[in-house]
Amino acid sequence: MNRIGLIALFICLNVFANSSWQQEVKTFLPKPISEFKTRQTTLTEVEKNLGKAQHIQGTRYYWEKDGLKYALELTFESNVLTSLHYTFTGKKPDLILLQKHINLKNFTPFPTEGKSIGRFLKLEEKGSELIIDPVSKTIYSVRLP
Amino acid sequence: MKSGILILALISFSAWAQVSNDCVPLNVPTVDIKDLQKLLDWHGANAEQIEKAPCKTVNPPSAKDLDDFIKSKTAGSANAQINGVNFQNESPALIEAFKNFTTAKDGFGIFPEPDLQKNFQVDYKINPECQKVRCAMEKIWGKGLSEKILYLNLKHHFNSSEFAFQNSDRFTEAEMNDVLMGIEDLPAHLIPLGKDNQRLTHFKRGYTLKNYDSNVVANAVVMLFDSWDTEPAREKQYTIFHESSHNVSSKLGNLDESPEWLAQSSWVKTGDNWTADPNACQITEYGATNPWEDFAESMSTYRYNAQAFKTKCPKKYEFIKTKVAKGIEYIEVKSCSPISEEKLKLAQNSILEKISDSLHEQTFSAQEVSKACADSFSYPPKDEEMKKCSVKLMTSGQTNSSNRIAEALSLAQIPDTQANRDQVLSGLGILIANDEALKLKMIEKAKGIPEAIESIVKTSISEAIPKEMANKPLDSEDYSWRIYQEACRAQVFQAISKDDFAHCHLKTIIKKDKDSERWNSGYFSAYKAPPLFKAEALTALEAKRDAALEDHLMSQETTKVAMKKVEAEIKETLSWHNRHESVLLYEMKDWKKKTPEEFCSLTYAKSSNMLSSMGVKEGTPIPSIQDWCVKKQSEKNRRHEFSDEEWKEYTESVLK
Repeated sequence: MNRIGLIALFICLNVFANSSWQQEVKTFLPKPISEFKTRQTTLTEVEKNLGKAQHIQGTRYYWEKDGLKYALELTFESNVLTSLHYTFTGKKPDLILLQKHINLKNFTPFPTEGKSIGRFLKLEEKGSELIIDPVSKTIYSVRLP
Repeated sequence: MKSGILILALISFSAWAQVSNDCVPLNVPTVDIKDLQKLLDWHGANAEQIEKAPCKTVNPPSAKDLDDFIKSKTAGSANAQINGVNFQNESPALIEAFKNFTTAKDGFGIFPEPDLQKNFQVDYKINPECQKVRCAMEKIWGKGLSEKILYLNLKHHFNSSEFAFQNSDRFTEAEMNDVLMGIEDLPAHLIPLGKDNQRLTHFKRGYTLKNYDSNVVANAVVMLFDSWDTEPAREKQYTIFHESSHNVSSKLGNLDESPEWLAQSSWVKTGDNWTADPNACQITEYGATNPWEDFAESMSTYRYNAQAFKTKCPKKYEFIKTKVAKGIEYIEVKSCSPISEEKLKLAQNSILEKISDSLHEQTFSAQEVSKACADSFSYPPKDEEMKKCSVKLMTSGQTNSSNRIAEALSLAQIPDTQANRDQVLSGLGILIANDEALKLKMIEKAKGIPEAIESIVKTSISEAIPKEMANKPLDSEDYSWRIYQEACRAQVFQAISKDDFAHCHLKTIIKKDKDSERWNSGYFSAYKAPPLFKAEALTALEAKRDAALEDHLMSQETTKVAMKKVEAEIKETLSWHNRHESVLLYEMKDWKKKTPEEFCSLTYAKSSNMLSSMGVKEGTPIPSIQDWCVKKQSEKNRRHEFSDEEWKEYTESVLK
């Protein structure tokens, strides 16, 4: 293999190694939410797709889905999307789909408020957050910066 | 509550530590006495209320109960080697259970943990003395505990083996009794509750999960911690019930997040936080933390402190009663006690007698026939199908009578709840199946079913297709009609809409075209020679649609709607490239009007493309092809079917 081939292989391997649960879980989001891009998508564009937010708290905008108030939380700064939080509704993605990308040792109990330590597990990483339901072995919600 | 301090810490739910360094040693719990009053309201029932709750399971299953149940689940025979242990002529269900008990996985049973896997033959010397699962389990856990672990798994689908999940410890037999009594306080229709070999184990003793404080008693995974050990028996059972309730929600399609449940307290989720309407009725302080705990606490209070719940939060009480408990209530014994065998038989026999007595006067509607027979009929119906349908029709007709069931329940002094109705009716099917005399009577009575079916079919189709089709008898040998029967029968039974019918009808036309011998072996097969008649799917479909419309006089409007559906479907599912002959039929359907010259001219035009595909350059003169074709056609006085060989031979001769 020549030098260029080796470099290409290195890049491919590097890209593969960096494939993350964040990238993977984004593919499970329903359209058009999966198409929103942080630091690119504007509030106007989102509203074109989803309509006006049903609830607003400061910079956070909320939309209902499948009867869940509010399955979607989008944060905007200067009209640009900075963070996305989505709670899966209906049939939730199987945890096994993330097997290659997550280590259960890194999860902590959720929720943690008061005396309740919660029925879910949470993984926090570089501003992202993944919550899983260990009983149904499914992905419950995700926050992506 | 005497032990409210510990009960409050029940706190449930998950959290995980994979390896021992994620477990933290326990500190002795300390609780401020001034918080005691607050703690008393943390859960929905105190020890005394739990003890006195109607229909409470007060004893674990006896050795005989365990034995009887396990034996009832052990049909079949197989040989297997599981984690080092050989089994001979053993029930596959027991082998599967042993595999689940002895195969090491992570704390949630999601991923295998090969590093933790034991060889049980090496550790417990099971073979050759034991060749059966129960014997092997006895060697590992001892007689009493092994039977309970097996029972819990076979009946409730929970796995309590400490070898199956990381950071687990062995239950004592007394602890296992509390587990079983807590689980069996659930309404019978929710059993089995465990999901996919779900964990229900004691966490590694002396440790808890990181982020947990020492008061945590249990979580919904289900893991039980050392604090659980110190609870009195009834509170231990409450804990088990509470954690099970999370699993009930899961079993019922995440009921605790259903819009109906969220509306009970106006729960709203913003990001990861839940908030309820401050004026909503909350049954316990713990339940007010989020909708999941609200549900589990409501379930637990419904089970162990029903009257208080009903009085305080009647709407939530009604939700649990109808959506979860199927009408079973735990306010007094008579509204929740399991039906005794004697009572069950009494109610069922009462219904059977009435069915038998009133068969002669029974009539059935088209709708009932459709419902009972749609899945069990081929056309024409076979004897066995006829019998099955008859019994189903007669039984459903009779048992759907709400009054009849109510009378039977009343006669047997069984509370009229949905759960009890379900139980009586589900047993009834078996009784009828075993009652040959009654079955014969039903079949005799149901002799009119074919006429009823014919009437239903005719009614259903009369609005959708031409009269000449509708008037054909069901046993008509007419080809179109038979194909129609095969394709549309099931839909007709369900009284389909006009559009659906047209859709189905067009599908039968396409099927007919595909299957027709006329198309595939007749005059137009001349065109099969060159593999170039691969018209674009849509063009072909247009032709097909026009022909279908012409031939079948379908209502234009209905057909258009139906064709849209068919087009979409066909684009997705049919490979029209493989069906070009059929397509060509429509292109050349007026072939009889053509002279041999005209016919061959078309053939020539198409075959030149084939020659091109064989390497003949464009523009190469092949003047004799038309003459050759016309000659052949004229010689045989028919449209000659050119074979592949003939085309090849001719082409090669021209090239030479």
